[in-house]
Amino acid sequence: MILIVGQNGDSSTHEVLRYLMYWNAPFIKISDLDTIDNVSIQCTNRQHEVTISKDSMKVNLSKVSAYWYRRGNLVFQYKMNATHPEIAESEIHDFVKKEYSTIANYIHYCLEQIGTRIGAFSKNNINKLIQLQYAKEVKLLIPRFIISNNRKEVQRFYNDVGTLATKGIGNNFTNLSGQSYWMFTSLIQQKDIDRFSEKFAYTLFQQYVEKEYEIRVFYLHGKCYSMAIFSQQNPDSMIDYRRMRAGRSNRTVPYNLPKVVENKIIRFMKKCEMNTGSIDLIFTSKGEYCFLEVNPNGQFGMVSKPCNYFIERDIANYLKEGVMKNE
Amino acid sequence: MVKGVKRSLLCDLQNEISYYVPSDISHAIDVLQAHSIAETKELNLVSAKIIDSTIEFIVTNNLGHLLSRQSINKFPDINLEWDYPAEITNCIIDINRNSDFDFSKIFLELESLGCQDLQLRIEDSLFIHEIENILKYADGRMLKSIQLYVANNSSESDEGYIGLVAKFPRITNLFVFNSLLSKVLTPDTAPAYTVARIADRIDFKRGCGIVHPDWFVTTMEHFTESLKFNTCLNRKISIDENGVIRNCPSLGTSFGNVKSVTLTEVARMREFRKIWKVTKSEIEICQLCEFRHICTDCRAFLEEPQNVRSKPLKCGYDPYTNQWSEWSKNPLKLKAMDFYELGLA
Ligand code: SF4
Repeated sequence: MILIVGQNGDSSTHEVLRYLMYWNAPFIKISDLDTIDNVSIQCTNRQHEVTISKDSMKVNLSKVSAYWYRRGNLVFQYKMNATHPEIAESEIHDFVKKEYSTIANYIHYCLEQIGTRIGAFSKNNINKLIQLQYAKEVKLLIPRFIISNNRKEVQRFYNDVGTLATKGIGNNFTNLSGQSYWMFTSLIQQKDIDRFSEKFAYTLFQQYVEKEYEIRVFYLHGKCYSMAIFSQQNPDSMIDYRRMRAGRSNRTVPYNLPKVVENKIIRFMKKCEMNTGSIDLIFTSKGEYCFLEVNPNGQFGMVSKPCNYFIERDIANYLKEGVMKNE
Repeated sequence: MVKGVKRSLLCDLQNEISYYVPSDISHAIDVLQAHSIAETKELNLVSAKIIDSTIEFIVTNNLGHLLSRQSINKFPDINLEWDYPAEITNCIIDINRNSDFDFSKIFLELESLGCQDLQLRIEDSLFIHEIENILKYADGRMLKSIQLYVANNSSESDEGYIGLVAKFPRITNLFVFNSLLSKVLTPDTAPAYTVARIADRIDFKRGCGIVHPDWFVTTMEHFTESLKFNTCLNRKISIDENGVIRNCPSLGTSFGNVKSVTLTEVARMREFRKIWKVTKSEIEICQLCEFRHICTDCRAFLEEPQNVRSKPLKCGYDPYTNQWSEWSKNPLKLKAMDFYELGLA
């Protein structure tokens, strides 16, 4: 059987499921709207069994032969409110919650042992700085960067490399009083540095690399699906193509990445212990490929659709073949 | 780029816009596909003036970018394959007061065939509660959308019809035809559905098949499907008010009745699938028309009813002159109209 953990309402996931249905490949999908109401872990000398259930559906993990972690998390039901209302709001509740998260991590661990697997919960938040280090280790070009909290240092770096770009170190996405904010990449020039205070919160400053076009690579088990994104004629998105005005879309076309670069990406992904992800590169105006970042669960639909790659079908097929191999 | 007999059509499938391209420019584009601008000029196959205006046309319309010569082989041609994860994508069911087939079984079968979109056309003035009795079987099935046409029942109110749609979230559109006035009942800022009254009577079976630029579809799915399949009939099925299964309600050939055969059996019949593969490249005139991959076909009403390779009757376009005319006023089409009893009454 195939198990899929994903978010509700994700149309790319839905299309993968439709291929599985079309081929009569049995699967179970658990989304963030499903609540796991029962977990059973039995580990004795003779047997080892982990079962999770939602509604009346039971999933014995030893029966899962292909697993796809798309995104999101497993949601467990805390029965505390009903059975012990007196402690529902107390510190004990926090303790119980932590116990739950240990169990959840263990279940994710068990799922990540499944032979045929795409994606992993544990790789959800891969550190951007480690990524850049790994990229450097496999000899992918990366923009020079510093992390700094003072103007003098930024000024020295600026004198050295020219225009800078800045973006979030960890996440580009944040919630402030209920509102979601995207942190976009912005440019830093001398006049901006002049307005900096002496000291500020630690910020990532990257050398601004002039690009001819951007490349988005969807990676799946050693295969690269590459797409070029032409954004420079659209002044709004010169720095970050996500910052695009509706109605003026950037041209996105299939791209042949040179074999050398593909091999570096494969080595990079192996180092990250990731078997899937979306990688952002730029093709610089000097004709070099420069690595920006990898997103463990990026939208593959935005590569698959304009390039007509049928990535959805390939994912479904990978899972289906995994089942045939293991059962 | 689709070449017609007199001009070409450049289809920007990403932005869903097409451009007319005169043949000298389309020739220049052909040469430029494999050569740099300098090389193209040296080849002398196309005048420098045409090359310059071609480049200008491409760049100003954001259809291409100027890159160095080495870039050429980094940009492969796009894959033009078409695929879809369902045996049947779309189904039309005609219903009247006497339709007594097993809706629960039909909807279940459509689901297992992977059908996403359903159109129900109710010819008689059924009461809303009678319509609900049909729709309740579609509830809980994995359909994406239901488009509903019903004949106006004068004892039902606007609110009643809106209430019906609100009750079944899969209904995307409800059209109440034969109404007194045409008007949209849902506000612009409405939920995900529209309810509208239409004053006209609709003749579903004979009114279909019109080819007009308003209906052209410049999408990747449509374009690639048209290369291998018939864009009107591929993976579609229909059931008429008596339960007769057909490729489309306007086509004559019957493939049995839902009371005696299953939709799955019919959908897998070789004969049923034969018409799915009639592409525009086999259809006379259309095969020379620049619109052939964004146009929808029609096999029910043909310009020459006896000739299966004839172009759609209800198309007023002539690819030799690039002119559109009103198809029903074309004297050459009158004979075919008589054949299909499409009088101008
Ligand atoms: S000639 Fe054929 S392809 Fe061209 S517009 Fe008419 S029906 Fe469509």
